[in-house]
Amino acid sequence: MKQVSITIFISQMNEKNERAITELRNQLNEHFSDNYQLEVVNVLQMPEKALEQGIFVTPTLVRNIPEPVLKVLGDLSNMRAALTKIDLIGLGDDEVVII
Amino acid sequence: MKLSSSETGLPAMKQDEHLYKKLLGSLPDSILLLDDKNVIHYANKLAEDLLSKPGKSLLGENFGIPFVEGEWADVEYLTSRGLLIGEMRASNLDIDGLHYTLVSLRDITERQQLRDKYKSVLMSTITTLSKTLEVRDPYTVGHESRVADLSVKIAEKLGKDDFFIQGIYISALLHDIGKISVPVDILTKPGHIVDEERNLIKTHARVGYEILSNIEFPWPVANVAHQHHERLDGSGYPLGLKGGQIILEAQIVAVADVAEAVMNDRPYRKGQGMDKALEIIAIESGSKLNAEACAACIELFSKEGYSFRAY
Repeated sequence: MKQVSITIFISQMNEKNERAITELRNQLNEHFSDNYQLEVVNVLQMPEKALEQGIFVTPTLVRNIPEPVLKVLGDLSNMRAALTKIDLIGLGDDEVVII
Repeated sequence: MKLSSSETGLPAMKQDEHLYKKLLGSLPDSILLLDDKNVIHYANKLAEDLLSKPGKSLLGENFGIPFVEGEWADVEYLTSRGLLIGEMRASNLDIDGLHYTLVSLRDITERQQLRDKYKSVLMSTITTLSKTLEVRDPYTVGHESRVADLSVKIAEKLGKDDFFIQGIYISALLHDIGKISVPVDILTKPGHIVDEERNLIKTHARVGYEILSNIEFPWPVANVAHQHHERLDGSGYPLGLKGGQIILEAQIVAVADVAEAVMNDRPYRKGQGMDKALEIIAIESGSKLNAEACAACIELFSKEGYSFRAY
């Protein structure tokens, strides 16, 4: 099993979301090498997934593993800061917080 | 205005609660109160109507951590009316020692659609203006578009933000608009150009500025047209500006303009190819042209496989 499993929920693939996803991949590569799983879900194409995970707003980033499941939503332009909100990256340094 | 308990028949506290619920219920925004675990503790009527699953209240649902770095975050929200475009705001509240987050979602779908429409009209107008030149001078077909595309790529490599990049795209599309005032037979003249003709061609920078300065762009579009032939050492025209007197946007467009002009055919000569263009850019880097923009341009062509598109 991967060390980290992340899902990003979006409603369209526009420039803003493309950048967020690229930055998310960069951050995950930097901190977890290939030991992560990333899923991109377009809520308009897969509404059942959004319903299942209680997604109200896009973009939303969901940390599935490690548990507990945590969600951050809204401004994902600063992906590093967003990942600190769901405790995947330590604040102010490059230490990885593994729960 | 607070109603007296004798007017409503309710005890004072109950009356306050009733009043606040009514107030929150009448707001045009969806309002949610999250507890310290981001569980929805309160939702106004609009939020319930829009966000709840059929037959299920929002209360007790985990909303997630609302992340707003500036004043608001641009979001979309999935509602019973379909996907709405919204602005999300979040603020912290401490009530009786407990921590809450107040979230509001404002529907800006109509405003956004109108904005998108205006943007599309603006872009069509700019493209049409840019194409007008090509009708007069077939040798410049695609020149503006190619310079615009390369300018954007250079700006991206320099780490510029979306707003800057949007501005440089529009500025580059219109940088030669002043050529509209130059007689076609001079623009398309094969062979040697005499000084008088060259001076006439040079007026396009000033004329472009005069045309574009009538439009209130949020970017320095007119100044780019005015300054794209200026050079850092003061050898350019029309004003002979130097270094920092030339805005960065014009410095970037100048590099893209040189690359495009050298590589492609002109009425008076054949295109000289990529190697020659990059050689000139390398020679003029730092002396006449912005060094960082030159480095970005050279890297794009020589390392990243960039090439001009045919139009």
